[in-house]
Amino acid sequence: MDDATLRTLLVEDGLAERDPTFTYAVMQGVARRRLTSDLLDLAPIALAAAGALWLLAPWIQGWLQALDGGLIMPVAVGVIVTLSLLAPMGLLSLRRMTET
Amino acid sequence: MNPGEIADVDLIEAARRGSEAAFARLVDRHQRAVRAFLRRACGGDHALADDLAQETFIAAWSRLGAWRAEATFRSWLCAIAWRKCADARRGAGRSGRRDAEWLQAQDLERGQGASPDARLTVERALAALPLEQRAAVALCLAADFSHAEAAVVLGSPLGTVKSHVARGKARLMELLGAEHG
Repeated sequence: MDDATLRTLLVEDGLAERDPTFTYAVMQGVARRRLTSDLLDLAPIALAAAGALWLLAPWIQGWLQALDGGLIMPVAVGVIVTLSLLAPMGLLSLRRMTET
Repeated sequence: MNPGEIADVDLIEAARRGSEAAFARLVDRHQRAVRAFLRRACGGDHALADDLAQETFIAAWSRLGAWRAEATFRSWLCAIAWRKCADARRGAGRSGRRDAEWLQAQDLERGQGASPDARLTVERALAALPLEQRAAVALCLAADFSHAEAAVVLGSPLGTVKSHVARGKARLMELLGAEHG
């Protein structure tokens, strides 16, 4: 057997030039890794926010009690919960915008 | 690369800035080379090779900042793939592998169990080579890497790579010569 025949036999790999299934599987893995990294990035911010709320809780409670008791308390709690949920998404969007 | 196609370096820059679309194009462009190298280096274990190829690209995404323009993106990917392959083979257990490789080599030499399909025959012949020889042959003979490029990918001295290629080639010719007359 000569060099050229050996090379011809070795070069044949039976693979398609582009395989969308493989690319899709890789990009799924990339998305998972990115999500983990985003969550790890946000963890210190979430911890700091929780700590700040805990420190400010007596002051916030006093301020809310000074206001009219009726609907203020549930509304305030709702606003805080909504902001807590939206803040991470906003931070992530901001980061994506600054990346590209 | 075709005219009008975006160069690797531009896609890498975009991917570093967070563009997943740019990275997907890089995966599309280089998946065949990485998968083919791993299939040969893994001795024809296609499932393991494809798993390692996926891990290679995911690791590359995380380490894009470490890529330097002095190496081609393809050889940088193959270097990551080679480390993953070597780790996987070490983890698979040396004795079991040696037994399997010996049995495959015996079958091939006796002409038993050899598939009529040329590609399978080549894979079996490659599997009979030691891991480092197989990887050197896969890069230099099958993928047109220079010896110097292969040395960088495999993290071995240039002389060692040349020796692996020469010995691997001789052994393959011996094994395949029997098959192909």
